[in-house]
Amino acid sequence: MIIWIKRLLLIVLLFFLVDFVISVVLLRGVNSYFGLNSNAEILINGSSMSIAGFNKGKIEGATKKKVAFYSRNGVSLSDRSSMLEHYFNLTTQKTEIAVLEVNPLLFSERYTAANVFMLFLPFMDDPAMDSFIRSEIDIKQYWVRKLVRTSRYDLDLFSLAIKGHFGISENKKNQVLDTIPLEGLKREFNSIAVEFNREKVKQFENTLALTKNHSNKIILVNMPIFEAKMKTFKNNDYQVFKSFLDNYVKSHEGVLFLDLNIPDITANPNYFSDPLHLNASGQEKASEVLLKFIGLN
Amino acid sequence: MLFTSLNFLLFFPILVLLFYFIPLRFRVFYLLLSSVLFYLNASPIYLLLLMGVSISTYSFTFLISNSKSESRNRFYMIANIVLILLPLFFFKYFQVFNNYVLQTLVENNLHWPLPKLEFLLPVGISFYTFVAIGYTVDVFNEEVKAEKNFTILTLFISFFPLILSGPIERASNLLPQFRTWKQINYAGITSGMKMMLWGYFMKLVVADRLGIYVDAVLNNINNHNGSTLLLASGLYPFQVYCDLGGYSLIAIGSAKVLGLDVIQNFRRPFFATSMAEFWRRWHISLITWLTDYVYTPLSFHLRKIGMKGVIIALMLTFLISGIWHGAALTFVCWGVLQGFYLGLEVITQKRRIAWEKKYNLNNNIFYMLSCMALTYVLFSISQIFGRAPDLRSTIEIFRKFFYEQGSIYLDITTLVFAIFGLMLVLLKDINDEFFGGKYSLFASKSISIRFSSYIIVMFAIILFGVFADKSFIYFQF
Repeated sequence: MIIWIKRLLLIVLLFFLVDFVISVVLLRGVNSYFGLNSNAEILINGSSMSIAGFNKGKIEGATKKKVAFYSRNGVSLSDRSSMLEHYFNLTTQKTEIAVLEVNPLLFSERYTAANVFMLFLPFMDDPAMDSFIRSEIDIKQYWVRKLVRTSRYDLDLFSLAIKGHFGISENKKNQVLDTIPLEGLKREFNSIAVEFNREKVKQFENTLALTKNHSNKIILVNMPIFEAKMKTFKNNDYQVFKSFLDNYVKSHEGVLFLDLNIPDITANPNYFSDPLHLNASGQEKASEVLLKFIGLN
Repeated sequence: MLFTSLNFLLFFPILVLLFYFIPLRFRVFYLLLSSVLFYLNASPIYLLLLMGVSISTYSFTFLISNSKSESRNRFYMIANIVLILLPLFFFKYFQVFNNYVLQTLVENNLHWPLPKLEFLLPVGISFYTFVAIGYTVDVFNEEVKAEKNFTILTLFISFFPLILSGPIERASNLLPQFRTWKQINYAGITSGMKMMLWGYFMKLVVADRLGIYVDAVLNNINNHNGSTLLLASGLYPFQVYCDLGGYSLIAIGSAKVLGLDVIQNFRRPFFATSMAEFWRRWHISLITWLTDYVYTPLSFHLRKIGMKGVIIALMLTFLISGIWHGAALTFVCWGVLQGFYLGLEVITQKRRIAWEKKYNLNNNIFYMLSCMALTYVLFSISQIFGRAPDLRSTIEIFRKFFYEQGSIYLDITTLVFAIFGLMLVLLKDINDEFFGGKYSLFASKSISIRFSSYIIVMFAIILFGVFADKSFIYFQF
């Protein structure tokens, strides 16, 4: 009986030891992938549109500045607010430029992926992330993640950790947008509302205020949307969204606005993998426009 | 409560701990209570149905044991079988029948106010019904004595590790174990835990990961070419093996931790060199159940027509198995195809054995590998009928195999991890099949190798497992 208990204790001890070691190694990789703890000069924060839209290596090479690319698929404004809080908690110096993605769905209650908190489980030791995760997850799941640190990772995060360790930051899609199925979008012309939820706007302003405290300059980048898709948004609504951003930029020093919805990009299906996301060629183009904008400002 | 749910991982260790602390005489009652709680968590309303099956089976087998008239006993046996099969038939086939009637009425412009009733299939209904039928027939055939203790019989029918998807246990194996409890056995507990660990690996790391790719392709047949469909169809049998095989290992392992030995359900099926051998290795508990309670009586009745009788009995057995899987033409085709494979093997058996002897082919590795490959291909073809939503889709898949080839859609990350996991499962199977488990890391004499392998598998499950509350494939049956 004693020997069984000893063996059981040994395996439990071994389990938690290995768990700790693996989680430390993975967290380093994930931090490195997102550029957390790196005191980078440039920070890019956004959702899948930014991930598909900017080439970290190209921007780093051209500006000779370190880039932290803290963007994740499916994140909403509130998720991004937590991400930025988390990011700035880990930096010890001011960021030179914060590039923040904006898009017409930003102030919408819809279009938010479920279970987004899963993406941030590795960072639950950070107080901002911990409270965000705790509010989203059921109590049993929360404590399992707290106790077994490796359970904070899934295959996606594991892959990111490996990429982080090997310095792989490329995220390119080579698929080219097939425009034939998009013919149907013509029927939806000027029909999709661009929501302008006041609470979301307030949240956005708070997020910008937080970013402003930790950065010298903020560039709000309106990510490109393929023109056939863009035309489905109600134009009047879209103009309200645009003028809000224009006014905000005018009234806040150090905040700039870059609109990537230029015909050069949005009219070319060869730059898109789907109507909302750029492909590898589009990424090159968008990164060039961003670099030029940074150079000019 | 799924075996892969957090609730089960909390429920099971507490259950085991208390199980070994309570006096032996209370164990049956304790396990029955646990089984009821387990079932309540999965399907609360249908607990009454489970209790009904137990009461009916207990009553009729009691009557059988107290009557000496064979005709009366036969009546009791048939009455119980019909009675407990009614809910199974109702829940499994009523919806299909009702939809068919509604559709026929609409097609003939008859608007009859027939309600469209929809039910969820009670979890595990097939499995506990089969257990109860097997027990009733065994009592009638005097292979086992009727259980006088209602608690023991109800536990036998509702035993929680087996109730949801089997293995379908026999009274002759399990009932005696409920009467003579063993003291705590370290080797049994660790052996059970190892089985459970490997079962979780098979299910969460391999089956569910493979399922991501297979579902993405086979749920969207129109969007994929023949080459991609071929790859997904080739992987599907491995998905089912790791899903049901993994489930079975968790079930058998759970029982083993409680000191109970349960029938094996899979025995390295992909090393079978013929379809007949394949069915002796795949879903063993169901196939032996069908053999004992369907095939054997049928072939006995048809014995006068010789070989033809055997073939008809095989066809009918697999047809029943197919219809049990689902009330659809695809499953009928699946059953007919299996019957055809086995019938063909019966017809050619003598010549094949003579041929193999003449050229000493059973010692020829290439011949054996070819037979294994052929068996796998034949089984994979039949599984397309089981997986496709309808017969039209099945035909479309086969058409695309031949006429629509092209570049294969690959979800690289998913496939790499799934196939790596599958390789480990097959390596373990090779070790068990050809080396008697000699190189098993779980059974190594060195404690450091043993413990390291447990830890590696645990972390492989945590990191690479799919935790999306995916159900087990056989829950739908």
